[in-house]
Amino acid sequence: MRLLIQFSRRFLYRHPGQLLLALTGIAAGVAVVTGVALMRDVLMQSLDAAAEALSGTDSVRIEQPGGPLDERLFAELATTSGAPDLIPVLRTRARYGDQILEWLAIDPLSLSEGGPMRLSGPATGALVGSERTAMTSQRTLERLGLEVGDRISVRAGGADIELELTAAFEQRRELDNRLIMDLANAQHLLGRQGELSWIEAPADSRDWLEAHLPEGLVMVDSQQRRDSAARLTQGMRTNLTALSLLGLAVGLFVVHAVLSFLLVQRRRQIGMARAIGVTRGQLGRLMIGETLVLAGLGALLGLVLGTWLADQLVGLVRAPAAELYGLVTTSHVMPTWPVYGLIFLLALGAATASTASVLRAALHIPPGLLSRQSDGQVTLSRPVRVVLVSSLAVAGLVAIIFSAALAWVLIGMFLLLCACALLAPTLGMMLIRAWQRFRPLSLSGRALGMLGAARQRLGPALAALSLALGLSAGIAMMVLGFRVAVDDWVERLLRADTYVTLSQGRIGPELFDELAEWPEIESLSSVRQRDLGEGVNLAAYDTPDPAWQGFEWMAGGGESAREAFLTGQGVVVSEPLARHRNLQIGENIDIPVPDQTFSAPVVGVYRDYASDRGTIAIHNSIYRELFDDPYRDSIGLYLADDIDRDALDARLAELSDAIVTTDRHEVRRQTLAVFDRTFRITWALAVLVGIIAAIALISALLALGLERGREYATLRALGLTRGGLARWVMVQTTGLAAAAAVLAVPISLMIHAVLSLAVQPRAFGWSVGFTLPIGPWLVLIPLALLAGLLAGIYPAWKIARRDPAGMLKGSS
Amino acid sequence: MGTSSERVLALDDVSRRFRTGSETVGVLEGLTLSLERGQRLAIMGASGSGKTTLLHLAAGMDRPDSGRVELAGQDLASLPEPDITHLRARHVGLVFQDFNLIDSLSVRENIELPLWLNGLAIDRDRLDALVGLLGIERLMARLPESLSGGEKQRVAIARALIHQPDLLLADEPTGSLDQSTAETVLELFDRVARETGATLLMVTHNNEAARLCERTLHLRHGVLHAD
Amino acid sequence: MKKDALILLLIVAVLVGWLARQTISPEPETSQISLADVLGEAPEHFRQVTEPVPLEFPADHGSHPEYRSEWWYFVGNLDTADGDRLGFQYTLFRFGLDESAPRQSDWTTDELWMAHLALSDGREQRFFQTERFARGALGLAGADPERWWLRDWQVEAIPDGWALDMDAGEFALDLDLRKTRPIVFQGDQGYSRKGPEPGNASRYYSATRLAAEGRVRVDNEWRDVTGQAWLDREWGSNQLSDTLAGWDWFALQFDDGRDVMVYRLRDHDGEASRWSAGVLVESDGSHRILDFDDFSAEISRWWTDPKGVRWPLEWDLEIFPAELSIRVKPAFDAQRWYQSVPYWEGMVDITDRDSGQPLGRGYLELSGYDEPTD
Repeated sequence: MRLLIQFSRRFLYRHPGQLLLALTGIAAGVAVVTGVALMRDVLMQSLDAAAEALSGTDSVRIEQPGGPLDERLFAELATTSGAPDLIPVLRTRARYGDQILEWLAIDPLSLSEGGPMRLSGPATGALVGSERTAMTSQRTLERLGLEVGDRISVRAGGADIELELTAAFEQRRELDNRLIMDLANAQHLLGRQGELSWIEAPADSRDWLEAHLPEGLVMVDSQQRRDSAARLTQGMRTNLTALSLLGLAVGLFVVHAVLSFLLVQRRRQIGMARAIGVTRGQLGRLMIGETLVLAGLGALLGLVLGTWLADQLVGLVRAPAAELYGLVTTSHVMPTWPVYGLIFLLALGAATASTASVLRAALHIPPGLLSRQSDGQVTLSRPVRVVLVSSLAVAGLVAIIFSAALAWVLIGMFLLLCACALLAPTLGMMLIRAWQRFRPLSLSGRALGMLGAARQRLGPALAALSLALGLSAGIAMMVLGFRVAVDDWVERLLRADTYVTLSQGRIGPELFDELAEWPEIESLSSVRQRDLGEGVNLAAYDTPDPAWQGFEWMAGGGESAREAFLTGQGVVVSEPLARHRNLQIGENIDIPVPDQTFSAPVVGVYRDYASDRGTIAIHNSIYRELFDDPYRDSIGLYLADDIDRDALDARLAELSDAIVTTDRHEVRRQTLAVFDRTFRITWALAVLVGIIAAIALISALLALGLERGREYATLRALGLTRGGLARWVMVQTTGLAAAAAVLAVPISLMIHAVLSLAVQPRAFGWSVGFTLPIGPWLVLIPLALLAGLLAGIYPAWKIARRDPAGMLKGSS
Repeated sequence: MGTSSERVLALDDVSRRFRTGSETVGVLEGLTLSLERGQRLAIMGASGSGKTTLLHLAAGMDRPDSGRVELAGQDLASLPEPDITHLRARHVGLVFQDFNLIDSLSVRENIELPLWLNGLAIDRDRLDALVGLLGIERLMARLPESLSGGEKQRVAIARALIHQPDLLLADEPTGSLDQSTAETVLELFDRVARETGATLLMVTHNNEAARLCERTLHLRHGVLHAD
Repeated sequence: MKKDALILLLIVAVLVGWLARQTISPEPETSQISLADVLGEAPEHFRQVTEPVPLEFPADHGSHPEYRSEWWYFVGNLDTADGDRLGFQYTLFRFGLDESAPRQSDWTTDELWMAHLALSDGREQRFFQTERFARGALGLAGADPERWWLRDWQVEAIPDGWALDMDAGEFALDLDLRKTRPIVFQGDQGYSRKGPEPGNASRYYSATRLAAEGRVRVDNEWRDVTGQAWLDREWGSNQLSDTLAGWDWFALQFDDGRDVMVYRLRDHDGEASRWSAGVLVESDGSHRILDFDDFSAEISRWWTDPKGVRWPLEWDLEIFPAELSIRVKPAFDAQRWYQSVPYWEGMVDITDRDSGQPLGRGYLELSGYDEPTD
């Protein structure tokens, strides 16, 4: 075995490029998976992070369902004999610039001595003593470009509030993006006297709490909080996981390609080893050992890269998590051994599985020195390949089309990708031969001809390349297509000429009634939103005709629906809500209202991309009655023709300087900006997969250029000039890149289709119309060709520099 | 091109040294040699005596450290690299010890390579004749990796002669072949060389091979001896 | 080949090490408070103790928010039925905060309350300590004549004494403490001067001998106890001048019925200040004030705690008017507080310095030996 290890070591040392490529493939794939997995954890923990900082990982939270908690409960509990250490918390979200921070007001004196967070005496003094004092983590300060001592203005509870940052927590990642304040100051500044959001209690106090809590309060433990963060962010997380697994798949294709390539090169040696008495078992162990060492090292590198990557991804996911789900994430990941271990094992397993066919092929190499065709190569005969490809494709399509579960769609997509991987070498070589036919006798034609004949060597690389390119283009197309859909939707939704909000938050009924009297305003729409828990939104609308036209009905709708909507005989729901709850037109839906439940049939399902948890819409008059809430969040103004906008704005400003008007184009721009922030992370993943593709491409092409020295030497000996040979190499590398790029086009189309038509509805609950944004192609294809050209330059230069005699000697 | 007495190849006081580590080893020392059209010369020598280097110099695939190489009447030292390559493509046919067929090209494409490199049209009659002579008609569509050693060398010979070179350079053409195959190939080589009237410079350590040639020189320690 | 394996292992070790570092959660941050600072100069709006004023009970058992700081300080030595020895400390501190703008919140407070609860287990030589804070708002902490509390740690007035009820999870106290002799006013009718400046003084009274009876929970087991406790009450605004580094405080209960309290105020060189003082209580309840010249205290043994701080734990005391020459030794060394305030407070034994005869028990408090550096 020692000798055998020596044998593989020598071989790999002689092919450092291939070795590096295999390592890079695994590392890049694992990095993407690790990055996304750690980032997912940040999302999951974001509801819980603050609790962990305050009272440990397993705390219990005392809440008043559907409303704030009376602070007197805290005093009552805390002074009862045997009381656990309780921490009163008032939470709200604060916007600083375009950043959303979680504002946690606590009683710093209630932090228990054994708890995870203690404030120093001076810090406590500062928090309690001065009214506008807030603390945050050092990292958050750095991220926001602030320093201790800075005064900042944040927007919270609909008002602009000035705060002073007096101190920073050095180490505490859980407190990233959080502002810690004293409860008294926060209640005062927010105008929420007497209110708590919840009370934190240590996990072991459950029994005591059960015995002492008054009726009507609930205890939420950390698991329940994680579950609810999980449900809230499910769409985003599954989507990202799917994409990261695709990244890993591409990485594995790269690994497979490399190992297959190495096998082709090693066939002779393996045959010889077998001839001198190496058994299949030994050979198998050797090759599995090689794979494990390679994969293990690559996976470790990947974990390290991934941890770094996750921190970057968290930065990208921060904005959408806050905007879509109200979750404030920490800015750094908190990796654990189980996560690392699991990914490591996954990588080893997947790498071993991906090399199974290579291993099988190696074991089939018969003993003896051989150079007869296809000896030891397990090449599938054409009919077998046809059957395999079509059954993979059919199985994949069946899984995608007929299953409602996202997991099956992903499996189906993977099967389709496998089919593509099997098909890609054949199609690619056909393409190359087809190009050759344009000018079969020219240098380029012959170079391509030679390339086209080397299917066995280049097949796996071609498959890996076209998949990687296709994936990144496909993901990009999905995002662009989705953006078009969102743009259309916003365009349709925003009917009013301008929208009014108040800088101090909610709009009282007086302003609405006043505006309704103005002659220059034809009609008013309005919205009031309320969180029904778990991210489900209740929207109360005033819907004059044009506003009603803004709904695009997926089901139901129409005049009868409007009648029911106006009278409270029916509600309309957003598509994600209908899909998550499997609601049909006519089915009743319950809305929890204080002290009762409002129930009405669904009369329409409308297109909506605002919330993936879903929205229930009722008419504002019904809402006011049910919730005893006269306020509105914003008002849409439908203006009469020929209105002088400046005069109107002036008149509005006269009414109150708190009025903020935003015209529809600005609203649309802001909506799309939110969308773009949301999909920045998807872009990042597309780019990552693209980078893996580029690594694969360049390495494969370099290998192509460098590993065929003997062939090139022969051509030089036979009389091909240096320049001719350089062109020859570059034509080949560019040809291969071009073939991969062309194959990537249908693959990207398939991925775009599956992601848009199958994954989006299942992950988020909304459907997206299929559009054909070809932008990614226009970027990727030239990029691939350029990469092909560039990747040819080095070997071409290197080969052309040498005398043919040296090349013949060096390569023999 | 010239008359029958034309000198096809001349090496004049040619030396070639290689560096191995810090040492400079002289492989060829002041070697002089001349070959007229139609002549056949064998150069024999032990392994490492510089035979292959001599051949590479003759083909313009390597440059001497001193001395002068003249191929087809042209002094190679005065030519830029592309011209040397063109000269080689046009005037030289090469047969290697280990064939050096291009794996991804078929036998036919391999044989036609020199024609393409010289921009010559395919002379079907000549191709058929050559192929017939070498007995490789049924191999034309196959890929080199499916051929036996003898078959490969026959293809290589066809490739070396297809464009009617003035000079055929053969480097140990039977080195990779077993005894009986080697004999067959040599026989063919002899016949083809005679029938095409090729000028031949062959380096070998095989007496049988050397016997094909009218003249045999021995290369010892970088110097030619006539015995 | 061995070299390769070594390099590979090295790379793997570096990578795994890096990953391991990522999984480490940071330790909580804390910092410590210097009591001497807190008891130093107070903002002007606090009243100062500048002259004797007759105390009135029960009103003066309650808090005096017009002064900067105040405490209710119980210590005691206890015996269990089966002969084990326990010590306890329960202290409620009140600190007045700087004046601030009024806020629309019931959490608004101008007082910070801190409670220290400790139990010394003589047999196992264990020292349990728990610290709590609360603001003086929403009824979370406070002291009126009948009740002194911080959250659920409660002291309630009972006839002739106080009932203590406090649970720290790991241990709990449920004790009735009854006065066996009248309250002693320290200094001049409770006007206890601590320094040369007019404000360097406190109101100070003590109940030097309280009969304790009740139960203590430790190791999840309630044990019946009896013993003797001590209450110190003190408030003021600027009591310590900034020339002082800390103090050594002795509360000693002799088997013959006498009680002695002396405190030795130390300057930054460790020398006793002229303002050191004490009291001697006879078994009939009569008392006399001890001043600087009435006693001497010499350190006879230092103890180095696990953090490397040295504490003088054994003392030779001479109380001249009582003709006492005694040695004070801790029941065990490790009775040091590691929370916000670093100090040593523990049960001690009193022996005759010459004969080694046990003479009684008491409590020793050492402060200012581990001052925060910042």
